Amino acid sequence: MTVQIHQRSAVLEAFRAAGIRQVLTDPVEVAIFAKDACPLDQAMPAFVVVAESADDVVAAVRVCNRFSLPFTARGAGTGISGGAVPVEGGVVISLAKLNRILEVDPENRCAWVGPGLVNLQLSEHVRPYGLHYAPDPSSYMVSTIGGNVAENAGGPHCLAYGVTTNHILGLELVLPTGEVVTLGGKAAEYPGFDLRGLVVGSEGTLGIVTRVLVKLTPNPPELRTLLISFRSLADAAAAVSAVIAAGVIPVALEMMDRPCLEVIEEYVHAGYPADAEAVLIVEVDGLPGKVAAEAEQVAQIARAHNAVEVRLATDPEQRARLWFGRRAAFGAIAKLKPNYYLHDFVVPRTRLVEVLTQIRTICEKYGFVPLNVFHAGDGNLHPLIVYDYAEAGAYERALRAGQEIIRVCIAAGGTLSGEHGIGIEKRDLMPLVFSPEDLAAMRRLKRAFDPNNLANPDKLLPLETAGQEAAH
Amino acid sequence: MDHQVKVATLIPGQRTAAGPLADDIRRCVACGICLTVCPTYQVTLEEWQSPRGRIAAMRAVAEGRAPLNERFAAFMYDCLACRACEAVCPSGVPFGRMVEAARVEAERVVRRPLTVRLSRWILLNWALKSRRRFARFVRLLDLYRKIPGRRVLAGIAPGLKMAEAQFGQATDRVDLPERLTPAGPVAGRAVLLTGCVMDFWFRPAHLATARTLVAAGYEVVIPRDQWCCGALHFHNGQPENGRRLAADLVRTVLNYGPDVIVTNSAGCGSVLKEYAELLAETPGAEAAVEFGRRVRDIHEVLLAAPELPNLRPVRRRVVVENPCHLVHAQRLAGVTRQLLGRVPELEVIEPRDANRCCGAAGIFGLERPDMSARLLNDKLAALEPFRPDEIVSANPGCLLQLRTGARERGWNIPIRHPVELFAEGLADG
Ligand SMILES: Cc1cc2nc3c(=O)[nH]c(=O)nc-3n(C[C@H](O)[C@H](O)[C@H](O)COP(=O)(O)OP(=O)(O)OC[C@H]3O[C@@H](n4cnc5c(N)ncnc54)[C@H](O)[C@@H]3O)c2cc1C
Ligand code: SF4
Ligand code: SF4
Repeated sequence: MTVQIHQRSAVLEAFRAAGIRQVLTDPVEVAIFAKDACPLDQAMPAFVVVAESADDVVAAVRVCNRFSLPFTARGAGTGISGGAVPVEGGVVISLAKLNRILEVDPENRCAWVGPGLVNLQLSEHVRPYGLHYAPDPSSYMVSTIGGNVAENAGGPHCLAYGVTTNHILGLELVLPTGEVVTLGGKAAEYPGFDLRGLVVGSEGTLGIVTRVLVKLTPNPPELRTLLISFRSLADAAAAVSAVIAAGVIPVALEMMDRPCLEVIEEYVHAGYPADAEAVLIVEVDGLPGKVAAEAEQVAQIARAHNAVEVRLATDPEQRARLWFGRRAAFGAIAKLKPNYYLHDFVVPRTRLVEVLTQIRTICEKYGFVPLNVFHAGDGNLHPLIVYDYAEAGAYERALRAGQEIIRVCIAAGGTLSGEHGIGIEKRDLMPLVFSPEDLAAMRRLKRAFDPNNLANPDKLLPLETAGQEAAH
Repeated sequence: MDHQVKVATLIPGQRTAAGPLADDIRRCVACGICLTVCPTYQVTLEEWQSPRGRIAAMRAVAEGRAPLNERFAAFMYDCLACRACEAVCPSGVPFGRMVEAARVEAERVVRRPLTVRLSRWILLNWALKSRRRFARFVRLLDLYRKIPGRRVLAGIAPGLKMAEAQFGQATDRVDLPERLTPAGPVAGRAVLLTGCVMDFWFRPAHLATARTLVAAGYEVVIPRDQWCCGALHFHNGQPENGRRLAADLVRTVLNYGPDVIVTNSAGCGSVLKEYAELLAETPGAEAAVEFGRRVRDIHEVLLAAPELPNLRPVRRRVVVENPCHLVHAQRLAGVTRQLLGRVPELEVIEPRDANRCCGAAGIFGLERPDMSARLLNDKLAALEPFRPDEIVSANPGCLLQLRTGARERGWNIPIRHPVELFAEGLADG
């Protein structure tokens, strides 16, 4: 779908005529937008439109329709499933500059924001109101609200508060054909189709989000954090299930396995027990009385499951110390080897141990030690394979190990993605979890929104066979 | 899966067409964490003004997906080389040396206005050649400041305007001793590096450095025959010229048998500590290792020394600004605050953005005056509410930049090297 030279200047002219000031075409410039944080793929767009307003986005989408150019929205480009990788010769629409906070409504605990706003900046901005934006992907200091919406991002604190979709009340969407619609809003319920819910997690395939109405959450009056170590993974996993079965819903329930702990200790000296097989970080929040009781209950359950050590932190400084290693885990792991392949699946909590053991076996077969740091509360696994591309064949081995791991997770009743999305990385694996009928329904939906198949095509859904493609 | 990895041309161990090593480029996993600290990205929100974007440009040229062109060169010089990105990168991407290497390649295709070219040439290729030349350069600047119609001239050549704004009256007539010895037992011999800009505009800082070193028990030698370390050349695409100056400096200084080689200029310090790498594969490689091992910033020496006795109280409020090359390149975070924290009654404030570049960044102001001014403005605006009695920063470029900004705002407060303030606390001063 590449652009012909003579067409190129016509397109550029059209962007300019539509009032768009920043359009990049130089190969060095567009190459900068060739990939996101997914190591698997890259492609050179012909144009990069740097939107400075929502109107720019509308204008750009219309020009793309006129010239049948596929377009891909881009927030901060931190996606790790290749969602923001453009179509070769297509258009990238960068939304990073649409980062305004348009309205804060503390009474109704919500705010209208631009899609390019960085997640953390939103929380910082509303702190004076005693509010925050709850979903906290580990990339929260870089990734954008628009990108979070498109990927339905999750984070450590999503166990109790819910993932992104639970915090998006409404949005403004530029449809793939260029019309602008507002979906959802401040009212509690809207009759009819929940199109807002449909757009969250659609990875930019149903249009471009230009404004977002986010829900704001009151800062909890009190928080307690526990760091609990176990001699076996099975004990730790059983404790997780028991905590949830007891009716306690911690705001965060994170697990780290031994290889991960060793790396954290070696590089950042967080003071974690490096000889433990598994460590849980559990956080409970709420009113002081309830919090103290729940923390005690968690500690008791842990001890009943052979916990070797329970540390409790109450003040912010102590809590920060317990979180420190977890937050620094990524950095520490990166020091081990320069490149990594991070996976993302959800498996039923009851099968955590079994799946983790299988993952380890597979990785060892390919000469890797998997590192696991993940959201145990909802069974969202993030096995991480680190490798050095400079070692011959390491990258290919990492890919192959990844493929096997995916199959094991699905066989255990898991899903393809917890929070990182499907993008390019996993689109061809969709048939593993969806029937042909399921997929056909999704395709019809996509076509209803995007009859010209221009909005981030070739993402999320498996590529159709040549025959099918020729049919439309 | 049907996708292919298009990295065939990035061969481990090889230098790429973009300049940096293939391995350095591949280290970047494009996570974007560095975007949060990059001054040029934070004010523009433009990916090509970010570390990740700059690396992507290098990668594109290295992989042959884009040509080494003028845009590439512009992107490399849009960067402050402040290395804030390097300090936060989880994957340990050595951005500083990458952008330095890319600038060398960029020099072949870069386009600059005539005045900028001329100013660069005068400074890097004429004035900095030798101390004698530089002295002449400084006298010419002093002379220029006396010309009545100079505003017109400055309008024609922005380099001149900057030179006037930045370089105040030179202070090279202050006398520096050649040797100082402590009264008590000697901890070792320290050779003090005087540099180029520091030596002509910041003699008082050198004096204070020497005095504090003596107080810390060092015999201080200040060689007269030393000259520039080449930092500006290394940072601006002229490593050959840099290496020439570096080799001279190594030879001269080692002659004096130093136990420590002390610098009070953060920009120089970062380069001096990298001499071993920069001079590798040259005849002076071994000496460079020897030299590099002994280099210390004055903060390091004083913080490692036993507490200096009898520091007098200084009743004042000082704002600390941390030079990029101190905190990011040398990873000496918070040292100025710690050092001044030892002075009784001194109120030391390290603002939230104290580690953020002030826009000086060597000769960045010449290459990108608008961005430089913008960063300076942000910095001073954030600083204003503290109403400081003085501002300290441990790098000549930053001091000149901050002084320019302060003058424009009509602030009449000292802006100087922290060691000067520290030395005020010494009892025998
Ligand atoms: C170090 C690291 C840690 C991470 N941790 C987590 C984690 O804990 N949890 C988690 O869920 N993810 C995590 N991620 C993945 C990533 O940060 C998230 O997917 C994030 O939501 C992407 O946001 P972005 O702004 O970078 O979007 P991009 O990468 O720019 O885009 C992602 C997708 O969204 C689309 N898109 C972007 N903006 C819009 C818009 N306004 N309208 C329509 N479509 C749009 C793009 O086309 C693309 O398909 C992590 C990534 C990294 C690098
Ligand atoms: S933080 Fe490091 S790895 Fe991440 S994008 Fe920046 S340079 Fe690359
Ligand atoms: S060196 Fe400084 S300006 Fe350059 S990319 Fe890194 S953080 Fe940005």
